[in-house]
Amino acid sequence: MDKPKSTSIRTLAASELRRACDPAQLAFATTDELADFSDALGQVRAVESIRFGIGMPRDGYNLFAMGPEGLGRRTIVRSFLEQTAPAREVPPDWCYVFNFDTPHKPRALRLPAGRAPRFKQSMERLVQDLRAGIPAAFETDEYRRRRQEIEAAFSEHQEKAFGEIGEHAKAQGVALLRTPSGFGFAPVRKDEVMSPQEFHKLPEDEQKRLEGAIAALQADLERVIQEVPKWRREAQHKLRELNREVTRNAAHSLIEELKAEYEALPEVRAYLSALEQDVLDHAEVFQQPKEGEQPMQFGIPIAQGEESDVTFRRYRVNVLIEHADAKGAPIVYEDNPTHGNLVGRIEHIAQMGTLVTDFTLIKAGAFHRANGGYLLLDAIKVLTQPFAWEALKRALRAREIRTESLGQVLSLISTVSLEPEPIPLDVKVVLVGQRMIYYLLHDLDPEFGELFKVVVDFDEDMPREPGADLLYARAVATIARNLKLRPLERDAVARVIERGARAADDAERVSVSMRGLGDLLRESDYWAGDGGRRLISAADVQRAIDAQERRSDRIRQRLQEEMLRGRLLIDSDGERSGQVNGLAVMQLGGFSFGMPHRITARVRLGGGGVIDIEREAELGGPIHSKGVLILSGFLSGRYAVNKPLALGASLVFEQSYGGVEGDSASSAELYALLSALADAPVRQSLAVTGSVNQHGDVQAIGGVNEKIEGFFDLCAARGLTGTQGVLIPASNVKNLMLRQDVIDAVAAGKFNIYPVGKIDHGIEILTGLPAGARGADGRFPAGTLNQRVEQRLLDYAERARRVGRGAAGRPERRRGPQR
Amino acid sequence: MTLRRIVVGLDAGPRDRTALEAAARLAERMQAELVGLFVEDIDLLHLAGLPFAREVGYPSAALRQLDVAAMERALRATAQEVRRTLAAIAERAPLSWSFRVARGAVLSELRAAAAEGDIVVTCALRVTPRAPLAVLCTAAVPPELAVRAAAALAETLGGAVEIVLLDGEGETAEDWRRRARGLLAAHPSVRV
Repeated sequence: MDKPKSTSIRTLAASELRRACDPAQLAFATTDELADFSDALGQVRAVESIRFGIGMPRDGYNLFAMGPEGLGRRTIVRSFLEQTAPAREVPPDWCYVFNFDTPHKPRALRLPAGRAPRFKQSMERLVQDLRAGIPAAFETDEYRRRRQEIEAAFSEHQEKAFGEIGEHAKAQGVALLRTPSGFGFAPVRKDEVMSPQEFHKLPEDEQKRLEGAIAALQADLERVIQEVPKWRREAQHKLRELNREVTRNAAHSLIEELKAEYEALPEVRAYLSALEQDVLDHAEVFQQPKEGEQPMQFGIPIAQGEESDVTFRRYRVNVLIEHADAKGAPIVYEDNPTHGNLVGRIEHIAQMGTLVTDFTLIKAGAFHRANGGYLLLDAIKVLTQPFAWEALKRALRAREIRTESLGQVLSLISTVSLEPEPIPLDVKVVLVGQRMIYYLLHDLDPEFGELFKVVVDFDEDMPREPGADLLYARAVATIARNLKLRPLERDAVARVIERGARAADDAERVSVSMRGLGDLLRESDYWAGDGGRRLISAADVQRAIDAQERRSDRIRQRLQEEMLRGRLLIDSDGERSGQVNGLAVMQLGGFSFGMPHRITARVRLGGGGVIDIEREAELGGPIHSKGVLILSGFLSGRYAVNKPLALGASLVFEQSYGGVEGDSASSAELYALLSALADAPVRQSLAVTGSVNQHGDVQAIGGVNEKIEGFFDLCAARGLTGTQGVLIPASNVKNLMLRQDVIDAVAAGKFNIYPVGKIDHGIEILTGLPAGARGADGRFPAGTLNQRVEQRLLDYAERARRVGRGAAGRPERRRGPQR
Repeated sequence: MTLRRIVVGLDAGPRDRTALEAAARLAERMQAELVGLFVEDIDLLHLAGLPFAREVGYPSAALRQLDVAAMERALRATAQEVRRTLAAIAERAPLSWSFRVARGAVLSELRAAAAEGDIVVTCALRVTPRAPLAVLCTAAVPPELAVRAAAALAETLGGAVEIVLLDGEGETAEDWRRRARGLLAAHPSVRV
């Protein structure tokens, strides 16, 4: 093979592999010297949104705090709420009381903050006073006398009417007799009723007269008897009036006293007036009958209510929510936002085998507790609880809390239950959730945008600008203090910052995941304690990082062992055509690592273009397939443009038994294909990552650090030769935050990292052949890789033509029906 | 001195149970035998025998035809009911008791019962609205006893009780009345 001149190959210097955090920038010895940093680190946009959302008083300006888990979204929102809430007015207390007009619709009473418990006590005392005062009023002689008067007037009236008829009868020689079921008139002689014989002996005139008189008397008696019920009603009415009067005398002053206390609250006064009327109507329940004695009226037993305690329940006050000790507006986080926990519940008690309820069994929900303040909810929890999301939206839209059971909401249960009067709702809701939930809701629920107008988008990372390191250090210091950890030395803070940048997968940014940071600090503190140190050192931080990895890297280790034992075939030296080391990232339970994969390509004459075996086997994802399809585009656009592409190539990830997704191996696949076409061996001491476009530009990929370290670990285990290295997209250089051992190896010239911008550049590194550019004649220079590729494709096209029947025009169809 | 028997005299009128209860309490107190006497009022039977006999129902105010057979049935039924009531009350007490039915004029039947030297408790006389119960006796019963019985009844009843002295002519009777009235001061609800 001739020795074509190769373009200059650049490798990265050790200093480019990690943007170290210079401890000299950090002007402190330990974090103890640093002031607290209570702001949200790196969340400028989110903080602006929170401030706006909290300050905006209009409807619909509820907040959705979105971002991945572990950023401290809830904590940050809460801290801002805690700054705002105390300055706001304490919301009013709410009670439910009996509705005397429509008992199944309990009334809601608003009371100034902290007054509700006192109101409840006042009402309890009032009932006690009434229970003592009303019976006392009925025990007085005055009442007894007036009652007897009414009863006597009734019986006298009755007896007088009967007496008059009796007298009238007597005057006509007729007696009024009591029969077993009424009255009868009979003629008398000498105070004795005539026997029928005696009667028949009377002259006919006399008989007729008596008969006529009796008929007239009977008519009179009938009239009188018909009047009796009316008289009884009148007497009962009088008695009721008397009872009311007596009750009013006993109750009025007590209730008026209470009314005066609630002068400024017309609703309470109205309730007390209604209560007074109800007490007057039900005076009898206050008169507790003596043991074993049934209360009677006109000799008729009066139907008694059930146990009188049940009757007195109606005068109770159900304090739904009170803010006696509150300072400012409430901030409520509902951990379990079920429908009932949001809107409140109506509980039941079992009574004689049935379930009954009343207004005292209405229980407050999160809306009640947060009313007048702020309610924090987890979006996913609200959405997964049946009908909780609907309840949330309904409450926010209607601006009122309607407490009803799910059975009522869905009209599943139509038994009589309570319909408590809705309570006006003024609350700012903050939903905390993943970004995807926000976007899905926005797409799928037309009401969502109306109700949650403020999006609070949390960033995962922040730029490592000048001064940012110091801010980060202060945040570290604050967390360490809050978590009661040992202070960190300056070097340790630098190490933490570097770790943050690595977590952000970017040398120029640093992760602001508070959970990751907190975990790292806690674990570093543990190791410092383990080593008996008073301060956390950089070694402790490093140990925490290593231990974290160590705990979860069993699979990585097993895979590497398999490579070293030769069961997973990965070469790290030698050369071979159509075979390239690709790099993939595996993510397992929050731990990600890179590992090399052998990618091979075979080519032959054919019409199928490039076949992706992963896709044919349905192991490849759509993005991977897209990457492979781009390769066909690249090939047909660059080589033998005016000839049909008569290529049958196949590509595969060897020994990959799971799915493959992503296009970060597409450049490796292209190198394998080009190597196969040009029959140019590829250096197996190199591994490749990067995606490629149709013009042959190498594009950025994710997980570059893990990928480099994955190949480095294999090479280091087999022994570094100085020829090994990794090709990465040039645009990924800014993402490099590599491990110290990799940097050391690069510095010692034992390992190389090549930034690659173009496919031509990469193939030169891999094959050692110049790629070659088209000359003025439109041809690639002889001996260059591109020329060899093009020649191979032209050969195929020519042979295809000779085979005839236009194989290229009718390519074999080997795809599945849906492809 | 005690009473041997207390006769409770009843007719078809109302408030029978009150009288029975009160008499039973009295009999229990005085450890006397309780005799139920139901008088089938001859006046009612006479009334029922009249060709134009009618009854005005109370409280229905309905006018109904009467005849002797129906009246007899009604009286018998009432007597049975009274007997059952008396049995129930007496068994609860418990008391020795008997029950009989007589037919005749109410007053004369009661008088006949009193003539045997017993106290007759009755509501059949319907003396006045103020005294729903009356105690009937002859001068053979000592006034102390009569007043004591009446007072006990008044207490049980919570109302007034009237003592009626039968064959109330002559000096003996006047003397009896005087002695009885002398005892009444302690019992405002009893009258002679």
